[in-house]
Amino acid sequence: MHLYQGSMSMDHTTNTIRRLWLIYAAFVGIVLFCAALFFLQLASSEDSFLLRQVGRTVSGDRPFVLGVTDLPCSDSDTLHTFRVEGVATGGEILARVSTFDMAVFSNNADVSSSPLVAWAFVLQLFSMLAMLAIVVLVVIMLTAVHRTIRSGRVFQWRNVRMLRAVGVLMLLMTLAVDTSLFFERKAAYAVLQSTDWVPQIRYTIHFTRIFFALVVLFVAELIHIGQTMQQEQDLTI
Amino acid sequence: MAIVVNLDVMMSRRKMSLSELSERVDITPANLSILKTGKAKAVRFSTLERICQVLDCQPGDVLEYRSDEAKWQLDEAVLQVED
Repeated sequence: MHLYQGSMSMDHTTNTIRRLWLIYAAFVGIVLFCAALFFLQLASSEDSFLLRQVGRTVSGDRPFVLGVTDLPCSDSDTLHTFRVEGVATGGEILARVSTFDMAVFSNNADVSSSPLVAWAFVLQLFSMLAMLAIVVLVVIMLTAVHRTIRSGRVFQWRNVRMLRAVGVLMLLMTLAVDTSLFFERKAAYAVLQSTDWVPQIRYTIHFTRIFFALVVLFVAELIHIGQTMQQEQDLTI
Repeated sequence: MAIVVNLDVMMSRRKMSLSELSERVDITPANLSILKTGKAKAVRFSTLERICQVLDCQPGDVLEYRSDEAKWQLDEAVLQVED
C-alpha cells in the first residue's frame, strides 16, 4: 500500500476533494460568465462604441479601417476638460476625458496597411490563442489533480510541466497584449497627430498579470520540489 | 550509488525466490525488485528488520558500502574476466 495514501485518512481526502469541487465550480462559473458576457456584448453591441462602428462598416464612401479603444488623452488641463452644466446642487463640476475610443473610416491605404496595425492584430490574435491555451491547460490540470488526489499521487511531473506552461503563456500573453496596445496607440497617434485628440503614447505594463504569472511559475517550482520528494518516497522501500 | 544491495546473494544462499521473500516480508514484488536492483533511494529500518528476520542474516550481509574507486576497480576486473 502506498505510504502517502496510508497516511491520508478518508475524511482528509474527502474534504480535499470537496474543496477542489468548490474551486472547479468557481472556475467554470467564471469562464461561463465571461463567455456569456462576451457573446451578449457581441450580439447587442449596445455598450461597445467600437462594435457599433464596425457594424456600420462604411461611413459615407469610406470603409472602416481601424478601431482603437482606451486611448489615453494628453495631460493638458484645457483640452478635454469640460464644465458640467445643469448641476442641481449648484457649484461647479469639471469633468475630464481621460481615455477615448477611436474609429477610423478612410480610403487612405497608408492607414489600413500600416505595419503597426498588422502587428497589433497579430499580437492580439496570439494573446487570444494563448488565453484559450491557458483555459484548456487549466481544465486539464484540474481534472488531472482531481484524479491524482484520489490515488494520493498529486505531485507529478506532468502537472509541473502544465503549470510552467500556464505561467509562461500568461507572461507571453501579457507582453503581447501590452505590446499590441502600444502599437495601436502609435497607429492612432499617426492618424491624430495634427488634431486636439493626440493620444499619449505610453507602453503600459500590466504588472498585476505579470505578478500572477510569476506566482503560477513559483507554484510550479513548489510542485516540482514536491514531485522530487514524492519520487524519493516512492523509491523508499 | 555507493551502497550496494546484496539481496540476491542472500536469497540464493537461503534458496528463496523473490515472490516468496516478498510474501514473507510483506512487500510487493515490484518494490522488492527495486530494492534488489539498487534503484531504491532509501530503506526503512522496519523493512530491513523484516528482511533480516526472514533471511536470518545481519544488515551488513544485505547492505554493503563500496566506494566509487572500489566499484571502478571491480568493474575493471569484471571486464578483464569477460575478455
